[in-house]
Amino acid sequence: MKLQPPLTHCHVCLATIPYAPGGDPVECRCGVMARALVYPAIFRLRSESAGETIQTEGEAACFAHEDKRAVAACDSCGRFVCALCRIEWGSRVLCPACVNAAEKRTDLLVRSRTMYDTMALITAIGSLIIFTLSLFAAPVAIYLAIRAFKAPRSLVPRTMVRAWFALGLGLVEVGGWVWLLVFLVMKARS
Amino acid sequence: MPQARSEYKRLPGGRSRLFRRDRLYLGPDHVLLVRSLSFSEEYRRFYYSDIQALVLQERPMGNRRLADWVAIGVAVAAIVALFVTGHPVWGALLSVVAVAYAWVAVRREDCKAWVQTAVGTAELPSLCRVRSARKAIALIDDRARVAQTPLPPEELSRALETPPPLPFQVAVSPPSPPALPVAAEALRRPSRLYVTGFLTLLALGAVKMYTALAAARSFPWALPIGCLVFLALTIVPLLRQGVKNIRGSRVVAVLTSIVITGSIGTYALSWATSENSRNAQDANTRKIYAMLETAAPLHVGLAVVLLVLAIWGLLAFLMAEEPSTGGSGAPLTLFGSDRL
Repeated sequence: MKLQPPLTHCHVCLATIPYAPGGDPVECRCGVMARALVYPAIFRLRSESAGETIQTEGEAACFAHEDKRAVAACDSCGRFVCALCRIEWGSRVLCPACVNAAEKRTDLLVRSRTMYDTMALITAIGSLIIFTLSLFAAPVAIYLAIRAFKAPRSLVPRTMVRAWFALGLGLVEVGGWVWLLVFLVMKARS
Repeated sequence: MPQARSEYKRLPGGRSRLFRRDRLYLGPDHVLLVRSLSFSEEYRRFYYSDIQALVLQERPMGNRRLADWVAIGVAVAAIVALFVTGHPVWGALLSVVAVAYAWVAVRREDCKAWVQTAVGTAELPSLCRVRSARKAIALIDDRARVAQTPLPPEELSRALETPPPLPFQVAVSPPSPPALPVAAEALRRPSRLYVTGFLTLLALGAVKMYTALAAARSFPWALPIGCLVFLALTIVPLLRQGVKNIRGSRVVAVLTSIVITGSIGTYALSWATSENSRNAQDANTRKIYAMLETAAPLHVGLAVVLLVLAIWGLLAFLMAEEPSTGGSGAPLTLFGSDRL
C-alpha cells in the first residue's frame, strides 16, 4: 500500500510531491509546504476466507475478503462487504466490525442527528419578523423545544441554551397573543 | 432523553460556511468529523487503528497578503475621503465592508489536510488554517501512534517512495492531446481588456490628481465613463464564473471594489450632471457646483482611490501565475486566477 491520490499531489499546482519520511516538511515547486505522517496500518494485510470470488477485473472487493465480490457498503463506516460479511440491521446494512462495536456503544452507529433546538430557535425568532406568523409559529417552536429536550442530542458537547431560549420566546409570544385576545374581549365588553 | 457527559474533545480548527460548519473531535478510539448543517449534524469516524496516513499541505500566502494590505489601504483611503468630504453614511457603509474584509483576510484558509484509511482518502475540512491544523494533527498523531504497533522507519518510508501518477497525467503523454482552442488559451492569460481598463483608470487618477493639485478643470465626462468601465470589469467576472464559484474571501473583496467604484461613479455622475446644469438659472445648483469645485480633499481623495485601485489591479495581474500543469481555464480577474 502507498499514499493514494490526491494526497500524493500538490493541491495547488498538481505536481507530484516527494514526501520526506518521518513527517518532515518538503517544499513543492509552487511554494506549498507539505508533509505526510504514515502509520503502520498502511501495511496491514487483509484476511482471506472462502466465498464468492471476483469474476472480472475492476469489480469492488470486500474489505475483509480481498478476492470476494462486494455486494454492499456498510452504512456506518463505508467499507465494502461481501455476501458473507453483510449484516442486515433493521433497514441498514452493516459490516461485522461495526456490529461488534455497536454491542458496546450504540452511539457508534449514529451517522446523523436532527437538531430540534436549532429548528425551535429559528422558528421562534423567524416569527418575530412577521408578528402575525407567531400565532402559529410560537406553538410550533414550543413543541420543537420540548422535543429537543426529549430527542437524542448531539454526540459532541452542545448546550441546551437554544432550546431554553426558544421555549422562553415561544411562551412569551403565546402569552402576548393571549393578552391581546383578553384585551380585545375586555375592550369589546366595555 | 438525558445525555451522558460527552466523550469527545474538540480539536483546534473549524470551517464555517453559510449553512454548513465542519468541526473535528477527538474520541476515545476515533476521530469524529462533524458537519453541522442547518438543522442536523452528520458524523464520520476515522478510527486511530485504521488511519494509514495524515497529509498536510500549507499554501504560501505572500501574494495574497499583499493584495489584502492594498485592499484594506484602498478601503481606509476611501473611508477617510468620504468622511472628510461630508459623506458619513457612505463612509460608515464602507467601513463595515472593510472590517468584514479584514476579518475574512485574517481568517483566510491557507492549508488542506487529508486522512487516508483502508476505505479511502477523506479531506478534513476543518483543518484549513495552518496553526490550528498543526495542533490538531499533532494530537491525532499521538493517538494514532499509541493505537498502532510501531514499525521501523525504513518500512514506513517505503510508502512514500514513488507516489502513483494522477490518472489524467498518464493520459497526457501518448497520444498527445489535441491543441487547445485559441479561446481557451486566451482565457488562461490576463485579458488585455482588463489591463487596458486599469491603465485607463490609472490615467484618470493622474488627471484627477493634477486637477486637484493644480486647481485646473478636468474632463467632467471622463470620470463617470471610467468608473462605469471599471464597474463592468468587476461585474463581468462575477457573471461569467457565478458567485458560487468565487471563494468567500474574494466575494468580500469584489463587493468592496463595487462599493468603492459605485460610490465614485454615483458622485461622478452627479458631478457631470451639475456641470451640464451649471448655466442653469437655479441658484442652488450653482451653489452646489461651486462647493464641489472648491472641495480639494474630495478631489485628492478620489484621485488617491483611483490610483490605488489601478495599481492594485495591475499588481494583481502581474503577480497572477497560472500553474503549468492542469488549469481550470478560469479567466484571470481583478483578484487573479480563481483556481484555488
